[in-house]
Amino acid sequence: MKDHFRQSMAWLHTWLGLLFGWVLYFMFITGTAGYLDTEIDRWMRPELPAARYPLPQDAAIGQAQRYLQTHAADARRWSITLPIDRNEPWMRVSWQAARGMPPAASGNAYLDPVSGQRLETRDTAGGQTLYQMHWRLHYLPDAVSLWIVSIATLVLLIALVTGIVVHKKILADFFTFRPGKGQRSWLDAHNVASVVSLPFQLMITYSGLVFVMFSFMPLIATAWYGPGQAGQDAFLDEVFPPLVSAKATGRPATLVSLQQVHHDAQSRLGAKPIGALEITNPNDAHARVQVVGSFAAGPLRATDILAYDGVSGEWLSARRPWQSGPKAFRDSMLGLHEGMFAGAVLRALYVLSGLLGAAMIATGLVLWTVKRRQRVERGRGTPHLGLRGVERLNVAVVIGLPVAIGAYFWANRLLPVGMAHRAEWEVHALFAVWLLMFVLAAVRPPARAWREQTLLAAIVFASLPVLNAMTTSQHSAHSLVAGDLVMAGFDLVALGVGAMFFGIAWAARRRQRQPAPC
Amino acid sequence: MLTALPLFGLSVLGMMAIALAMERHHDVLARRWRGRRARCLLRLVGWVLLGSALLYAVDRVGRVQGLILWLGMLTPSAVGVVGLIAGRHARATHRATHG
Repeated sequence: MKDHFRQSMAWLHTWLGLLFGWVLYFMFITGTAGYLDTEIDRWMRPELPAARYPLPQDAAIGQAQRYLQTHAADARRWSITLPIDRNEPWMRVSWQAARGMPPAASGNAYLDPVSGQRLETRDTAGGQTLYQMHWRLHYLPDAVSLWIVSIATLVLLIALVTGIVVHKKILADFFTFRPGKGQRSWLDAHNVASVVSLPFQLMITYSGLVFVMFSFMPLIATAWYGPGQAGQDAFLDEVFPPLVSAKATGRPATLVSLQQVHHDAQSRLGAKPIGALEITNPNDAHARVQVVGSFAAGPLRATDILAYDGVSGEWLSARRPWQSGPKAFRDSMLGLHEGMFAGAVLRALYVLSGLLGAAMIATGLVLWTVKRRQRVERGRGTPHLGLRGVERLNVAVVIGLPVAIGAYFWANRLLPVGMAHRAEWEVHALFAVWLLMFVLAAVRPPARAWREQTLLAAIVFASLPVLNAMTTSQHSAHSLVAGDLVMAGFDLVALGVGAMFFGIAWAARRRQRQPAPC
Repeated sequence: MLTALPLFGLSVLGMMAIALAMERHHDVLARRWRGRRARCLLRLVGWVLLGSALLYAVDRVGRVQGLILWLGMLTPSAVGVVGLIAGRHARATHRATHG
């Protein structure tokens, strides 16, 4: 009975894992890159000066208001993001065009907080687009990718739980990795990667489901608030009560000094940092200003929001980070998932756990093929189409995706700076190269394809510092001297990733020369 | 950084002691074989080290963030010990077959 249960769990683990492994691997790699999103942003915008934060905010806010007043006086919404930590390293302003205006009337800019000048940068998709692929599968409509990602997350939770059930000796096997033993080694690697990072894997999967719960499990709200969009809206209004809503009147009025609002807000918040100012209906009689604290103060992803009248500067209301137990639970799940509060060390640990998650999936996918390949080699059956297909898909996904991400960085340096839709072409470059990796994997024998694509990944990443030195003035030595540790750090990490792929390619070559004794 | 290194040290030592206490890994990690009682003691030492790592983290960065940092730090510590054991195994096998 017990064995039967374990067998059916193993079946579920194997087949769900295989079916969703590739999309989950994509989510893990892009999500892990997301823990370094602003660092990648920095490398992809070499024109920006090294980030300096936190800054005296008063003058910076004055410059931002002047800039927006000059360039976006008619906009429906302004937003000023202040440089307070690694999540927001530069001062950024953005504006949303009035209704009926073309989308090109909206925009955003990095500003020099001292001079108020716009900092010109190349048009790039940056670290943010790479990170957003983690849940927004790029070419698919939002609703479709939301469903795919949600189901994949649910499958991962099932795979983790069934994996724990199937793995009988978690504690006894905790430190066990026996290299050079074929299938046994792959199983060991799969177990070690999962077990040593298990708290992270459970947290990231569960909290991932919390992210999508309102759209993935809407019927729970329907039971209480009624069916349809009306019920959903009533529910969301109650969970996220709008702080101040004011319709634009059309009557012009002078916007209050944002410095004055900021000053008042700071006196109400004490030592807590202020991260952003959001202005609705600027220069209208119903202008509103919201002063938003920092979402990165701790694992609870919530903060103080103060609302002001945008004409008189009068304080209207406040929303505190803690509203109710259940909401705080949700906010801390989101906070743990995104890790915005994480400093350098914890961030490195997040990246390590994310990579181990990717390794867990990759070794699981390889294990599926190794098991079946061995059965074929022992003379039982022939390599069926499924096995050959999965072997090839594994190469194209596990190694091809890193190659494609490397190509994305190459495109950032090589596409002409003045090119139209440049940011989109960077993303096209990523997916075009990935497609090429699928084609290569399809036409080459799998063992060769593993080695070739791993070598390719090694070259693509290891040469990024050279490419950077050749195409910008910000080579690693320059960045180190200038104190731009993020720029130099990216070069160094790229070199490390390249070295890691060289190591894998070398190990694979050695393995093929002297077949492992079983 | 000043919190991270001692925390990492405590968790690696804790993991090492727990691995030493396991029959399967004892011979590659230790110079000589120890009895069951010594290994029980090692296991206890390991858990005490991991526990003090948790207390240290909580003391330095607070309850919630300390727990998160401690859990996170267990991962590289375990990876390190797994690597050490695998490396020693490989060397031992190499010596057994070639020398």
